[in-house]
Amino acid sequence: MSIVIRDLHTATVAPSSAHRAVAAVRKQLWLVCPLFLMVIVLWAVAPGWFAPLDPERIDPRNRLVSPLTATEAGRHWAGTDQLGIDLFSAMVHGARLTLLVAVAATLIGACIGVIVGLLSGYFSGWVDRLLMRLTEAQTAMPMFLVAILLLSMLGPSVLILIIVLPTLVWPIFGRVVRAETLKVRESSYIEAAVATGCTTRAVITRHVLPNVMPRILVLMVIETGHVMLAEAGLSFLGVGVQPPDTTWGLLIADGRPLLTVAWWLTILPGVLLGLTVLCLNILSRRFETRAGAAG
Amino acid sequence: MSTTPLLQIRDLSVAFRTPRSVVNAVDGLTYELDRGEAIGIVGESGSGKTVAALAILRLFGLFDHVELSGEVLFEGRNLLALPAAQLRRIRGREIGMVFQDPQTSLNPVMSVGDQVAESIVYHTNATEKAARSRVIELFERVGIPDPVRRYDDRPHSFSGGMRQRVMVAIAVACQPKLLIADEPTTALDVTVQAQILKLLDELRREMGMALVMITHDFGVVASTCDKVLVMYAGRAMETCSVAHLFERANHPYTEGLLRLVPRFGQQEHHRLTPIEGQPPELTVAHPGCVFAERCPHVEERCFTVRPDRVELGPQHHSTCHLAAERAQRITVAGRPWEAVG
Amino acid sequence: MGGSSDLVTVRGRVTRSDADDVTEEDGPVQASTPIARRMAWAGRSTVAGIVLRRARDGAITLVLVIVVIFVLTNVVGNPALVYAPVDASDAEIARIEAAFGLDRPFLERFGDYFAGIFRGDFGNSNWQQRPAIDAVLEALPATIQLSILGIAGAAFFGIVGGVLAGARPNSRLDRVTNFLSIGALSVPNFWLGLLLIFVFAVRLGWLPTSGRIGWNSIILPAATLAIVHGGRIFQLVRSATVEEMSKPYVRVARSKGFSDRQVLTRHVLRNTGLTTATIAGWEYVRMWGGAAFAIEFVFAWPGIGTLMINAAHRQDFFILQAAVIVAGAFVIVSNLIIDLMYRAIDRRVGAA
Repeated sequence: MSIVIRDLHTATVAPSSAHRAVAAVRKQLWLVCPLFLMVIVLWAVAPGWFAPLDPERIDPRNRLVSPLTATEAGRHWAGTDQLGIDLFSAMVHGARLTLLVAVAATLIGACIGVIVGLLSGYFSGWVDRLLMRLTEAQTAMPMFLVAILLLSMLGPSVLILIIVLPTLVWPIFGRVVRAETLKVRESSYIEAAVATGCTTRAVITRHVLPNVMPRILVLMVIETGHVMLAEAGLSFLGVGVQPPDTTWGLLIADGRPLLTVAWWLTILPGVLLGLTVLCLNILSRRFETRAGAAG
Repeated sequence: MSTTPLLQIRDLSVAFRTPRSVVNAVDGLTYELDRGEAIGIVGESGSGKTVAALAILRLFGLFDHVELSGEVLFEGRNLLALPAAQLRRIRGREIGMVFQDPQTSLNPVMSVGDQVAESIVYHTNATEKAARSRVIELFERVGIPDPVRRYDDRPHSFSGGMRQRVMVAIAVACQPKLLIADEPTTALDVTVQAQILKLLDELRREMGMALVMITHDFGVVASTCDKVLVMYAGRAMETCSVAHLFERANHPYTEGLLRLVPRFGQQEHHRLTPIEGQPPELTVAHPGCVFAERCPHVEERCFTVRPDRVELGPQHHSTCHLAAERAQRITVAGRPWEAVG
Repeated sequence: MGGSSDLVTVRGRVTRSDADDVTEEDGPVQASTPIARRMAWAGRSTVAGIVLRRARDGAITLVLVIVVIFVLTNVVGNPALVYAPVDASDAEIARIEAAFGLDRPFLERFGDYFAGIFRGDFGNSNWQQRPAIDAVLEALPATIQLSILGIAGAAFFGIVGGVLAGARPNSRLDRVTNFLSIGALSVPNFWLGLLLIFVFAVRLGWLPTSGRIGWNSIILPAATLAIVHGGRIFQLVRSATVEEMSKPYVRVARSKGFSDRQVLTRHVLRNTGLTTATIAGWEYVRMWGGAAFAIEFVFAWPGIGTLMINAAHRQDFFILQAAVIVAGAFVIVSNLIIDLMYRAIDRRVGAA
């Protein structure tokens, strides 16, 4: 007598072909994420191709039209606002600045954090203690509030935003890179490099850094999402991006007064933002297991 | 007088399904064990011996997708088909298990006494006090000094050998009929190894337990077991009694393993001849004998036809095409390894 | 050497370095041999010693915060511009600076400011025409109330969900909750608040849209916080549980005959309990890093967040300064308390 058992929780029979098909689809489902992100990037690069209407086009006769309605101008997939501006086109055009700010700020934050982390992890001693104290001090501060403070003092602008946002993010890079550097530092190939007379700078750049890189890249993906959310928050509060520039956060803010009558103005940009960050999160998780296994 | 054997493994196969492949860890394993008998399952790492032991109680990891086939008959009941609730009543109570690594096998935040007592309380509904005194008795029996005070200590304050004694106490706490020991001494110092083995042997005889001893060391088998099963790449190569093992080992793999065991009284220039080659991939199907690539006596048919389990005597089976021939030659020519070596 | 938790001696001081965190411990250290253990025990500090040391660290951080804030507002920005009309000439700005004493040397100004803090004088708010500190302290209780309820909800969802999902990885329950939690982390928290307002207040009319009137006005803002932070707690607790369930002693426990659920409650939870508590604690501190304030604003909850935003719009930097410093002090104190609690529990559990 032969029994095939799937052990433990599911003492069920072996999977049917239907089960297998579903599982196969599920395995490849993550590909949706990079596809979606590519679309967003395309929107940022060439909004004119994707936006059905001019986002500045005021159309008072079609104010506050709900999504999916068609008017003589075309179909308003996301509805219109109080001036008749097509929300979908506004969102397409808003992608550029949203992505730009998020990516730039993350890169800057990553650079700072990586340098701090490498120095801290490799040299230890007083360098490590000093840098770690700085990081700790910063994490003790309610950074968001500090950002608000800064932006309101300096006058909010895209440039200031790109300077302020990295401060939210560099400690994470610092800590992770430091931890990885500590691990890598003990490896024998580092010993070998030092023994063969490699300069410290060379050891760090040519041996330590490449091994830490996978983790850094994965972290950048996920932190870009966080920075995007932070920018949206600051813009929403009025201390971030200012009109006439648009980002998705600002669109949410614009729609807020009309929440009761035109919910789509607030909700839809948020959905878009959420989906983008979701894709980034899912992708980073996926690569995390790969990078962790490989590196 | 023939009684039903306590444990009967029939054609047991265990396959692990990973997203990319299927690993056939155990393939067609068959053996029997009577009450109070001890069998040693010997093999290299990766031979499937541990998996075969875990399969008895279905103790696979939470993330393993396992496909089991065959039968594991314990007192006539097929454990593989048993619903989880009933299997749990057998675990710890009828069948106990000692695991390999004492460092990580105990819960670090619970006292050692409680970890033994909980098994007693769960299976016998004893009161906590009764369980506690029973545990102290057990600790004395397994050789843990000052058991009353040590009851409340955490595992980290014990040495490896002591922790393994605690593991033994856990396994025998409810006086099981069968004890499975998965390489219980591999992680220990040599001196402690001998003590633990002696302990297991004594307990077995006192409690009349059957023993399945998983090991890669023939010495362990020789000193504690009545019979032996040699595994390779998930399949059983040979089963025989320990007495016959050293005289009449039949299977070429067994022979090869025995040649690797250095022995007192050997001539100075006797070299240890290793078995050439590498163990095979378990993810690929092997139509013929799984040892064919490394066997010094291999023939054409060994690659294409899977050998039968040939009975060479009571309690002696060899899974080899040449089994019968070799058996004849051995009884004529005397000790096999000297003849070939 | 080897392993992820080693003892490293740095110039006579024993530091424990884990893979992720260096904590300088002058207290009991996990030593690997009996002799080393006895030595460490002899050199350990008392509880009071540790508290004082942490308090000292916290005070230093607070001073740093004050310095940074002052520098940011007075050096990077120019407060005089706040009071001056938009088209003021340089001469007019200079006059305003003189009037407010902003043309004095930096150190003198800082000294005044710092001394003022000790007296409790954070300057006077131009907007509200009263001491800035009064406005901040008035708003503080509301924020504390909201944050506590929020973290309670987050801890509940996150811990219960995380443990259940971690105990049965890749089950349907796990996949669904995991996805939901990642979703909760991905959406802007203020937007989530608006969504909840729309669904429950506008469409369904069950709850008030904003403000702090009536007992049920705290539900929506707290729920928003609970969802967002609960998602993160869920992720961390789940992975801690999964990791624990893979440990060998779990198999041993199962070999005794316990069901998965019993193994979970008897064994695994004890081991993950400490980790879980720390996760929740740190998440509470993170809440004060920003999320709570944006949500306050969305719900017009009269806490520090709303106060700050309004002050920012009116460029009332005295209130801004005071608010950041008070919030910073609160965070530092919370850090201290959580850190001490962690040590206390750690010692009792006796982690190996």
